[in-house]
Amino acid sequence: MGRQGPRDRVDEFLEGLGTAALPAGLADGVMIRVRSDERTRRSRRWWFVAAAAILTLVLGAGAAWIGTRPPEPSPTASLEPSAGPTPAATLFVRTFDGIGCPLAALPPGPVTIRIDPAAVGPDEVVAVDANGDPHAVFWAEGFKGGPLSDPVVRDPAGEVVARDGEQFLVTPDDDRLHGHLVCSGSDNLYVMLFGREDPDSTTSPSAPPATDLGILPGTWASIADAPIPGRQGHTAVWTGTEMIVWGGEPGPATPDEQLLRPGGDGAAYDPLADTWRVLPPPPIADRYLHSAVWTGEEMLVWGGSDLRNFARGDGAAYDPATDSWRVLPPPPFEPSGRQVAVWARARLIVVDGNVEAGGPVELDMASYTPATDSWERLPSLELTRASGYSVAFTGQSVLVLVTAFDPVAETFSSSGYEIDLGAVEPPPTWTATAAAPAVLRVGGAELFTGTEVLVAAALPSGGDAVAAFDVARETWRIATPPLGLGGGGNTWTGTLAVFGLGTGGMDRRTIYDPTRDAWFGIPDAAGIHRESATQVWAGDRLLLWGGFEGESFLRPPGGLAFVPTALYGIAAQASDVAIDGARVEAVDASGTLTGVRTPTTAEMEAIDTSQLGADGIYAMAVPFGDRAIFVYWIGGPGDLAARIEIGADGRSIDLVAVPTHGDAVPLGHGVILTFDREIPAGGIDLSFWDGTR
Amino acid sequence: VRLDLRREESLDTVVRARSGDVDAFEELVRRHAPSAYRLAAAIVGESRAQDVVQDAFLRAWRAIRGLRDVDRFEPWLHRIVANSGRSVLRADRRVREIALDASAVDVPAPDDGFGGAEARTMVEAAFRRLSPDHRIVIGLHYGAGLSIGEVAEVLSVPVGTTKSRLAAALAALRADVGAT
Repeated sequence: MGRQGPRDRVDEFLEGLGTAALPAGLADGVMIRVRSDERTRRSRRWWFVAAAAILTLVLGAGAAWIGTRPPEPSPTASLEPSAGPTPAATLFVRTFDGIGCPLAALPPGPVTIRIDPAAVGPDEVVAVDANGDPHAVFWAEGFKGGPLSDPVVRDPAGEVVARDGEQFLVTPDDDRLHGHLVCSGSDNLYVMLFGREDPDSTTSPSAPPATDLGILPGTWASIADAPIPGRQGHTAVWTGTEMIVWGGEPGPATPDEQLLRPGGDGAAYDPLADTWRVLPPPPIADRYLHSAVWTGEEMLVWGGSDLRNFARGDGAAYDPATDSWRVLPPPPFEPSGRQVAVWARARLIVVDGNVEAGGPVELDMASYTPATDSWERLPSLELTRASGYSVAFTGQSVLVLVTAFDPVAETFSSSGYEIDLGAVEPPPTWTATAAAPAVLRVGGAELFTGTEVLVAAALPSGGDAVAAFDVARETWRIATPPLGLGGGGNTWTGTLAVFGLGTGGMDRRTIYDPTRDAWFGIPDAAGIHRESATQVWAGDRLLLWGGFEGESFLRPPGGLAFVPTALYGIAAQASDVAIDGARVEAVDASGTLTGVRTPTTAEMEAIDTSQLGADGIYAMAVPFGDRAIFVYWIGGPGDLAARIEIGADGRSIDLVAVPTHGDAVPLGHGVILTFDREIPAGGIDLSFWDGTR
Repeated sequence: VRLDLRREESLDTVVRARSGDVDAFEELVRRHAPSAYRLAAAIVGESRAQDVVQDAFLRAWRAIRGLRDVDRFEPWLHRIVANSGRSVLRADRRVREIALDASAVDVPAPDDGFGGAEARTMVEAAFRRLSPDHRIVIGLHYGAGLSIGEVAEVLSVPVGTTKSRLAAALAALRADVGAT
C-alpha cells in the first residue's frame, strides 16, 4: 500500500469527525444537572418570597408583641454575648421605631446577640442579652414560599414550624441556621440577623449555593471605535490613565470578512478624552493568548502563541511615556510549553512547563527585573502529575495551584504550592499548602485580593468554581458562581473580582465580592452583545474591549464602558433573591467585618431625614460601617424611586423603581447599598419620590 | 406524512420544554445529544466533549424560555454547543508547542483530548492548530454532519461566507499537514 498523501490523510480525518459515539450515560448526566439546576432556581424563587414574608412576619409579630406587653426599659449599653457557642449569624441591628422603639433609647456602640443553648426551650425566647433580657428569634430556615395571607413558617419538608406571631426554636449548632435569615424582635429592640458562613469551616467542592445579589445598577456607554480591528485572545492593561490593548486574533468585523492572523498591533484608549492612539509596531513576533502586566511604568508582554500556534518564550516592554518598545532578554531556561507570567511587585515571574500530557512535569520559574533588565533563575517545582496550573503572586510568595487527573482511578486532584520570594537564608524552596479542593480547568495568572488568591476553575462534578486560598490562614475554600464564570480574562477592582464580563445572551453573575462571598451581575448593554471581551477597572468604571458579538463570532472594533452607580446594590426584583444569604455585614473601609453595630442617635438624626408627604411614607437609612447604608421605607407604593447624593461633589445616584420589594411586602421596602468609597462625613442626602418626577 | 408528523411532534416537544416542562426537555436532550456530542468532540476533542455537551444543554435549559422560534431549536442548540466549545478553547489559554528554532519543528503535540500519544496523528495535531472558528466550521460540517446551509444558519452568516470560511479552514489544515 502506498503512503498516504496530505489530502488523503485530511479526508480520512474529516470522515472520522462524524463518527464520535455518544458516551453511555451522557444524556442521563445532562438531565441530572438540568433537574438539579431547576430545583436550585425554584429554591431561589422561594427564598425571595421567604425573605419578603419574614419581614411581614416580624413586623406583624413585633406589632403583636407591643400590643400584649407593656414597654420595658431600654436595653443597656450593649447586649453582651452569653456563654455558649456563637451562632453563625449576626449581621445588623436596627431599632425600629415603627413598632414603638424610641430613637432616644438606642444603645450606643456595638450590639451582639449570641444564642445561648441554656436559654433555649420550648415556648421560650431563645436569645438573651447581658442582662438576661430575652429576645424572640424568628427563624427563616426552611421557609417555604406561599401567599402572604398565610404567613406560616415551614420546614424543608413542608411541615409547619410556626405560625404568624409564634416563637420557635433555633439552636446554635443547628446547621440549618447557616447562611439564612434570622430575625429577632422584642418590644423595644428589633433585630434582624442575616446568617453567614462559619469562617472557620473547611470548604469542600460541595460548597453551599452561592449568594446571588442580583444585578448591579449602573449605566452602559459606548466608547470610540479603536483604530485597530476588533479581536480575541488579546490583553488589556490599565496604566492609570489609559487602557492598552495589544496582540490577539483580529477580525472579522463583518460576516464577509475572513479571520485575520494573530496580530502584533495595539492601541491605547484614554477614557477622559474618549480617544485612541495606535501603538508603534513591537519588536517581537505577532501573538495571541499571551500575558501582559503593568509595572507602573511599562507594559510587559510575554509568551503566547504565534501565527502557527507555537508557543513563544520571549517578550517585550512598551513605555507609554516614550511611546516605544524594547525587547526583553531571553529567560534563563529553555521553554518547554505553556508559560504564565505574573507581576510580583518589582519583577515579572514567568513559570514554564508542558502539562498538556498530564504526566510528570517540572515547572521552571524565573524572574525578570525591569530595573536591571536581568533574569534570575528560581527553584523549579517537580510534579509527579499535572494537567494544568495557575500562578499568582501573594505579595510575598508565588502560589501555584496544580491540577491532575489520574487516568486509572479516573479522579481529579489539586495541590497548592508556595515559594517565598523574600527568603534569603535559607534560600527559597517550594512548600505544599493545605489540601486544596479538587478542581480542573485552571490556567494562567490569577487574582490576588490582598488576602486571598482567587483561581478561576471548574468542579469535577460540573460547573464553574473559584478556588480561593487565604494566604494568612493557609486555607482553601470554594466559591461557586450561581450562573457560571464568563470568558475574556479576570480583573481585580480593588474590592471585587470580575471573572469575565460579557453583555447580552445568558444572564450572568460573574462579579464576585470575596469579603461577602457574594456574586452579582450588571445589566445587559441594551442591544449590544459582546462575549469574551477583556476588561480593565479604570478607577470608577469597567472598560470592555474586544471579544465577539454573541452568536455571530464577529469582532467589532468598538468598546463599552460600564459605570456603576454604587459598587453594588441589592435589586429586590421579584425574580431575584433579595435578602436571603445576602450577608449584609458591617464592614470597615478595608472590607473587614466589624461586626454588628447600632447607629447612634446622632447618626440617625444626621441621616434619617426623609419623610414624604401626605401618603404616609416614612423612610430611614442606617449606616453599616463607613461604606454601606440600609435604606428602608414604609408606606406608599412599591415602585418608589430614590435619589441618593453623596458628598460635596454632588454625585447623584438614581435608583428608579429598583430597590423595592414590590407588592410582596406591603409593610415596607428596603435596599442595602454598599459604595465603592467611604461615605463622607457630610453624610448622604436621600430623597424619595413616587417615580414620576 | 411521517416526516411531517415527526416534525410536529418535535415542535410540540420544544414548545413544552420552552414552557418549563423538564420531561420535554429530556426528550430533546436524548434526541439531539448525539449530534451535539459529535460537534463538541470535533471542536474540543472527545475527552472534553462531555463537559461541553453538559454545559451546552444546561445553558440551553436556562435559556429556552426565551427561544423565540421553536422551529430553529436545533441550530440554536448547535450554536450553544459551538459557543461552549469555543469557551473551553479560550479558557485553555493553551500553548501547544514551542518553536525551537526558525524552522519551527513540530514536536509531538500534547493531549487536548484527541486521544493518546500513540493514536495522535499529524492531521490531528494540525487540526488542533487551527483557530477556534476554523475548528467550529469544520466541526459543524463534518462532525455534526450539517449541510452548508445549516452551518450558515448556525453561524448566522451567509452561505457564501460559510463556504469560503470552510474552504479556508480546509486549506489551512491541508497546508499545515503538507508542510509537516
